[in-house]
This record gives sequence, structure tokens and C-alpha cells, in this order.
Amino acid sequence: MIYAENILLCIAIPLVVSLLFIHADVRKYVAAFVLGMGMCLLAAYISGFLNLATGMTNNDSSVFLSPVVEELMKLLPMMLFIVLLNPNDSTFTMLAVAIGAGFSTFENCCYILTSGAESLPYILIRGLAVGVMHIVSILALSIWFVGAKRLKVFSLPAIAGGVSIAMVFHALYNLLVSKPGISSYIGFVMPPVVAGLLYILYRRLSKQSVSQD
Amino acid sequence: MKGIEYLPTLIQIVVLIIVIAGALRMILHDEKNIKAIFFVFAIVAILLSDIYWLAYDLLRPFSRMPFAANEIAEWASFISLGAVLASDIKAFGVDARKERIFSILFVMANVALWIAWTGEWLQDIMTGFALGYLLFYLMIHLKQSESLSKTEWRILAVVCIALIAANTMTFFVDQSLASTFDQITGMILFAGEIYFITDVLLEFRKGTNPAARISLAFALFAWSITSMYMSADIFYFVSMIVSSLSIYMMFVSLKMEVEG
Repeated sequence: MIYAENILLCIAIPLVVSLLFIHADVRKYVAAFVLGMGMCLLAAYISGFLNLATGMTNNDSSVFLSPVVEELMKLLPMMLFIVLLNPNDSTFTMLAVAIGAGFSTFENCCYILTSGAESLPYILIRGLAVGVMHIVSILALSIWFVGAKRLKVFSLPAIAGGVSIAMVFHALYNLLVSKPGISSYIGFVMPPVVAGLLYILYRRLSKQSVSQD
Repeated sequence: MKGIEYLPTLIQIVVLIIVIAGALRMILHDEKNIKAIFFVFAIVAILLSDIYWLAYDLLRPFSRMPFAANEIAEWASFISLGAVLASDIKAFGVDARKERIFSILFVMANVALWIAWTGEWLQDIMTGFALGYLLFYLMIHLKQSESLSKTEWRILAVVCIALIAANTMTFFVDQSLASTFDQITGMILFAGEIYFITDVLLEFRKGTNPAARISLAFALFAWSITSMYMSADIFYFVSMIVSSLSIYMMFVSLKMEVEG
């Protein structure tokens, strides 16, 4: 058993203090990063509760419950940013990436403390696959939101559709890696490949945005 | 012959990939086409749902899927397709009150049947909401585009009531009679699919009413989904193939409208 709240406090306090001495986009990034870690903790609480309530095994819970809970928890701060701050497109994408990075960093910290960090290949897989997966799903969602806002179709169907696609991507990854063998290799490769594709799309959208300005 | 069960899903995946490629070209043709954007979104959701189901069945054979992500993808696809129709409805003032109420009652009856069959309350109710959203706008679209005659509307209502009644009866009669009712339901659903396919093809051939083309293609999709959720085994596989056909027809009808 690990004390996740204590770990969160230990990592978050220096970051929160650093907010006093940094400005502009860096401050926003760090704040969103800390928020992402907090969302990870809340998601763990909810998943844990649902796990006990439904009587699922840990493996089943990670395949069926976690993707839904985690993507919803990542969506909440994004919606908060849109409603309260109405950031511009590039700031919004940056905040979304920070939430995803904070989420995966905290999840990795807890995982390493539980399972150990002796095996370098396993740690690299953990970082490149799960770590990147959280960034990929939220980045894709933010790009969809930005596109929907630009086209003035940012509505309930757009939000529900966007978040559900992020959930299915996440669930597909968890399903593929839940069994050893070829399926898990496909699962591990999926996030970096999609990250590469999203990078190309993101660059193209950024160029479009600059030319429009 | 376990592999044959995957055939309808594999066919659908191929159709979806072709449709996504074509629909992306449609967006390039007109970047601000909201209908095309929501349509692509719906199709991507169906594709992910199929891939998830396929991966699940290969990795965890013989285990019933609990509340799973592919159902969420199905909800997303229904909502997105509903949004395609909603964005096409110009005058909300069209009098489709009776049809809208009937569609809601039909979905509620379906949800009750799904719950009775599976016992999965949450996902069945959520699926009902999403499918209800699609059917709600479909009714308005069908009415607005004048795709169905008065007689066709009446036949549709009678058939829907007959389907619900026949399925309900299976819970109250003995096993042999219940399987007869199942066969009757399957035949009615299959006949409905043939009717809608013919209707869509005739509308494509006439080519005078683009809105009716879209309406009927979406109606075929909705009917095939209803059939899939109401049937098993061979009827399910046939309905899935019809669903793939309807996806292609929805795409063609939207493409014809975009490209004039």
C-alpha cells in the first residue's frame, strides 16, 4: 500500500511554491500540471470505489472502468478552463498537454513506488506507452475542441463525441496491454505512433492559426 | 467456424475505412461543412467500437463484456449522427409532433426490452438516450423532407408496434412459441431492411430530392441498428451487413449534396 495523497503533497508543494516566482505561460503550465496530478488522485479514488462497488478484478477494472473515469477527470479541468478562462487556441492546447503530463507523471510515480524501478526496459515502456498515452488522448481532445470552436460547432454532441473517442482509445490501449504477447506490443507502440501523427497535425494547425492571425 | 462470426465486423471495418477516406476528402472540398465533420466523427467512433469489440473477442473469448468503452463509442456515433441531421434541419417549426412522440415511446419500449434481456440498466438507458436523440431528429428530418407518404408512416407505426408486441410476448409464452415469435420478429426486421434499401435506391435513382436521400439513408441505418439490438445469430449478422451498407449510403448521400 502506498499513501498517494502524501506523494502528491510531496511533489506538488515545490511546484506550487515555484508558481510565485514564474510568470505567464510557464506559470499556467505548472499550475495545469499540478491540477493534472490532482485529477489523477481523484480518478484513483473514484476507480477504487467503483472497483470495490462492482467487485471487478484489478485487471477488469483497468480495462473497463479506468478509461472512462480517467478521461472524464481529465475533461473536467479542460471544461473549467474553457468556461472560466476562455483561453486562446495555443494556450488551451498547452494547458491540456500539461494536465495530461501531470496526470501521467503522478500515475507513474505511484506505479514505480508500488512495483519498483529495477527494470530499465519496463520503466521505458511505462514512460513511453502509458505516459505518452495520457498526453495523446488529451491532446487529441484539445485539438478536436479547438477545431469545433473554430467551426462554431462546440456543443454537447461535440463534447460527448470527443471525450468518448478519447475513452475508447484509452480503453483499447488498456485492453491490448492487459494480455502478454503480440497484442501488448501493438498496445505499447500505439501511443508513440499516434503522438507522432498528432505532432504533425498540431504543427499544421499552429501554422494555420499563425497565418490566420 | 468461429472465424465466420468476425466476417460482418471485418466487412464493416473495411467499409468504414473507405468512408472515412472519402469523407475526409469531402471536408477538404468544403472545410466548413459541419455535417461532414460530425459525420466523420460518428464514423470514427463506429470504427473504434468495432476494433475494440474485435480485440476484446480475440483476447477474452467467451467472456461477456460488462460496461465497456465500445458502448460509449456507439453512443457517440448516435449523437454525432443526430447532430448531422440537426444541422440540416432548417425550420424546426415543421409539425412532426406525433412522429417525435412515437419515436420516444418506441425507444422507451426498446430500452425496457433490452433491460429485460440483459439486465444491464445503466448502459441500456444510456444507449436509449443516444439512440433517442438520433431518432428524434430523424423523425423531423423525414417529415421535413417528405420522404415517406402518409401510408408509409402508418405502416411504419404498425410495424414498430408489432415488433414490440411480438418481442414482449416472448417473455409470457412457452419456449417453442417464444422461438416462433423470435422468428417472426426477425422476418419483420429483415423485411423492413429490404424495404428501406429499396426506398433509398429508388430515391437515389430519382435524384430529385437530396434531403429525402439523406433522410432515407439515415433511416436505413437506424432500422439496421434497431434490428441488430433486437436479434441474434444470423439475423444479427445480416443486420450488421445492412448497417455497413447504410453507412456507405449515408456517405454517398452527403457527398452528393456537398459536391452538388
